[in-house]
Amino acid sequence: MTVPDVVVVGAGLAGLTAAHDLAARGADVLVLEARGRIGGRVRGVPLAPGLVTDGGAAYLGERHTAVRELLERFGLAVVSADEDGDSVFSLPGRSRSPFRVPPYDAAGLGELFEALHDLTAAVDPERPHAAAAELHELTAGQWIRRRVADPGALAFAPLYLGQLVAAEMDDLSALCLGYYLRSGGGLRYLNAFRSGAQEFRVAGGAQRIAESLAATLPRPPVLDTPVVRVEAGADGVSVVTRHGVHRAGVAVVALPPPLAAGVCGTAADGAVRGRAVKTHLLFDRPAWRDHGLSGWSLNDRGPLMYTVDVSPADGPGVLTGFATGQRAEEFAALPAPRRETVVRQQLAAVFPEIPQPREVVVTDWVTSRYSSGCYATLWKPGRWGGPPGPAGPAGRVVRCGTETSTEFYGFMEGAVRSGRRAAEQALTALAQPLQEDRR
Amino acid sequence: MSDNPVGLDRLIGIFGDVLESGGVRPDSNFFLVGGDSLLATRVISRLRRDYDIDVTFAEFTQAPTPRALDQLLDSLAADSASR
Repeated sequence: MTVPDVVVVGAGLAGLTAAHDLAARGADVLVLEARGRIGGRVRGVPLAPGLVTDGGAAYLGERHTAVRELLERFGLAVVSADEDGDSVFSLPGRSRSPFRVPPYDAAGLGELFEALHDLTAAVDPERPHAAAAELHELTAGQWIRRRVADPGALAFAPLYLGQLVAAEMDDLSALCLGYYLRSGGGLRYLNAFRSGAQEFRVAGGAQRIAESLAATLPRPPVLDTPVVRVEAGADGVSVVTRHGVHRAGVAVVALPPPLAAGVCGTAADGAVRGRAVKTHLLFDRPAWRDHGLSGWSLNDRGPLMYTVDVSPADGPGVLTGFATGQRAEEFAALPAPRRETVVRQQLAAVFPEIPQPREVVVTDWVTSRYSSGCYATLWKPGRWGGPPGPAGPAGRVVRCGTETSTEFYGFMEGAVRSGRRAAEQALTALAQPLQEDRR
Repeated sequence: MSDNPVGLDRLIGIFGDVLESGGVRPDSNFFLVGGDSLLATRVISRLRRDYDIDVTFAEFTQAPTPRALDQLLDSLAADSASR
């Protein structure tokens, strides 16, 4: 095998985007992937013949222009993620409402959203270190409890944050939460299905973006090849795997921060794993619609902390349930048969109107070794490790991944934007003469 | 004329603040110009915090424009005056 110009480590959306851009510009690119599949935190889960659903990242909105460009280039369609009908709340008493406002005092809930609005305004993604000291020092939970006294708002806050960042309020710094909110487009955008960050899903599953990117590469990604170490030397880079060493001019490390730190020999102190488990429930039909329900629910316990209708048009019914944070960890720790039992029990309590699902399929990101946090890696107080951080140990090792993006940190959009940026950096680095050449 | 302590202009200001929009008009429907139900709680929260006026979420959904909300606040003010 000839020595490639660039080795890309990781075949998630960021790595594949970088590889695609580099190959399109004439570079010889080799992609190495630890798993037996491409896509990273984007994963298609087959539910039934011809029906693939999103086991990982799923949603996008109008502002996610880099992802939308890829969709257009590859002829992939989107479907609306918004569903009509009432929401269900189990907090813990069951209620329903045409709105997605939980049955707590509205003015009290408003205190929480006023506070989160201020937090969003207080963080500049280009200059996170310039944010007020208390945002660096406090957990998101501590900061919220200083600002918000209303009991309903404080009961709702962990559920809301769980949905947003897949973590407990005291896992991450206030700065990290503010960063996520601001780089994601602000509260209003992040909340919304209609005209927001959850407006669309990719028809057939978001893994089709990864598959389409990979299909353009002259060298197909090499699977089942975990990278152990990336070393920058005077004459290029060495990418060490369990099977051998790949030499190249430049390495693009497209891994989540803790894994990137592991292979680059750098630090990711203070990294916290976002923790999420997605459960798909397959029904003969979306029977909840007969009862005027949207399929959306918010519940104060797991494993279904919230549910969303992701049914295909004119087909069977599919609900996605999310468990996040501590509840995700507890759920992931259960043996498989027990998981299905608790899902079915909770479904019967949340949606007693509808029959039990035909299938229950769990996608566990908590124990997933090569993701190290899903939706994303987050950061403890005092230990911000997100952008703008070091690009890597040297100019010939370029990092990307959604956690390196100042825009849409934690989203597919952040991953794709970071991959584009990394491709540019890699091309610049390739254009620099190697020290060896100058001799 | 408003008979409540907030008034139409301030309500337009609150809507504009929460929606981050300078284009709010007296008859702009909160839910049709970018607002959602969670953001509506910010409007309700400000009315309580700054004017000690309680509007429920259900009442807000029935009066989702600055003008309709102004009229609602008028009637709330008249109710409490006649009590």
